[in-house]
This record gives sequence, structure tokens and C-alpha cells, in this order.
Amino acid sequence: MDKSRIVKSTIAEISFDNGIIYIDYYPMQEANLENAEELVNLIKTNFADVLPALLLSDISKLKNTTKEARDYIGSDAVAPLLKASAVIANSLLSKIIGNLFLKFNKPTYPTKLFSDKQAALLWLETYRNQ
Amino acid sequence: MRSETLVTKISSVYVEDGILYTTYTAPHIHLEDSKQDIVLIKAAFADFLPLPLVIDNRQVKTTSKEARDYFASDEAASMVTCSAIVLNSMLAKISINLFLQFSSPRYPVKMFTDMESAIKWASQFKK
Repeated sequence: MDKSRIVKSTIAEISFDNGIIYIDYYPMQEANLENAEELVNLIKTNFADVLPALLLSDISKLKNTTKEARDYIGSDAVAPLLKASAVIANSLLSKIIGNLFLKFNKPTYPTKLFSDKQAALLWLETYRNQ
Repeated sequence: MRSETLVTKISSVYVEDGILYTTYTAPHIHLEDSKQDIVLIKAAFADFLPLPLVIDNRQVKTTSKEARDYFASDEAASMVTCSAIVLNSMLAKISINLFLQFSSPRYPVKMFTDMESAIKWASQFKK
């Protein structure tokens, strides 16, 4: 991983490696509209040269996400940045958050939930050249 | 191996050895709470569904007609391969009989007075 491309937001660490943007949320954070916008703006600023990108995020440690945050992440404001989004959700709470996001927000970019990173990476590969 | 337990307003739900266990903790089951339950259960256990369902209904006093109809709907039915209901009162038995007769669930449903028999019956509907 290119350590020079690691950026820290209020609630997550964002990094880039081999065509994939990684978002690793810090433990027990609540994603709200403000810090979701901050995250997206950091991606736009620091990774503009690789957009649209594949995204791998791990939400297992998130405590909560507000409706406003979910609406924003699923919106057309974010869609142009992403080719596809693989979301790792290992806890019951994160599975609920992830599945409710898919059900109610219906993001226009390909999004899938996974329990393990390997399966998530394999799925993302199918979108690499799109 | 038992999954994490989902605790909702009216129930406590987990998956163990290929069976979905729901214990209703509220005495009165209404439509809105039931709908919310199903949404949360589907979101929490999406990886496993559909599953045989074992319900511990022993703390329930009443289930509204609208809730009973909802439990028989496609929305709820898509989650389960069967429903084994453990109950301990004549009132509960009448309620379940009303469910069977008028809500007409399209999955197998059977009543039991003990958990062990319910689990044994439900196990035949594992995937």
C-alpha cells in the first residue's frame, strides 16, 4: 500500500492501493451528514486522479449512521465518484445498517455487502475496467 | 453456533444451527411493530434466509388480526420455510387457529407446547 496516500477524516482512515479506495471507520463512530460530507470531500480532493474508483469500506465498527448520512452516501452527489462499492459488515448492527441502506436508499452505483474482505475484493475486480 | 441476538421492541431473535428463533417479549403484537420486526430481521439475517422458524409465543396475550394477516403475507413468508409456534394458553391456541384459518399462510405451521418438539419438527425444513 502507498502510505503517502493515506488521509484521515473525523471518523475514518482513507487509503488507496491498486485502484481501490479503502475506508476504514474508527470504532464506535456515528456517521452523520457532516462527517459523511467531510469524507467525500477528502476523497474528491486527495484522490481526484483515480476517480471514479472502486471502493471497499468496512462498516463493522460503526455505532450508527443517521438517515441524512445514508441519504447522502446513496445520492447522485456520490455516484460519479464510484465504479462500485463493496461494504464489509461483520457485526449484526452493521449488517442491519448495510441492508437497510440497500433497501431504502437504493444507490445507483453497484453496491454489495460482504462478510469477508476476499469475497469483496473479488467482486470489485469485476468492475475494474468499467 | 449462535448468531448475535437482535433485540427489537417486541422480540428477541437469533439464528442457531440453521433455525431462526424468535421469542416475543411483548404481550400484545400489533401490525406496525410486526412490520418493523420483519424489516429488521431481514436486514440482520439476510445471509441466512429463508430459514425454519421457531417462535416462543408464551409471553404473548394477543395478536391483532392485521398482524396475523401480515405474518401470512409474501413479505413475511419469504423469510421462512416453516413456522413452529410454542404456546401455553388456550387463548394463544385460538389466535393461531384464527391465523391458520383466515390468514392462510403458505408455509407449514404447527403448534407445540414445548420447545424441544418444535425444534425437532422445524429441523426437517432446514435447507
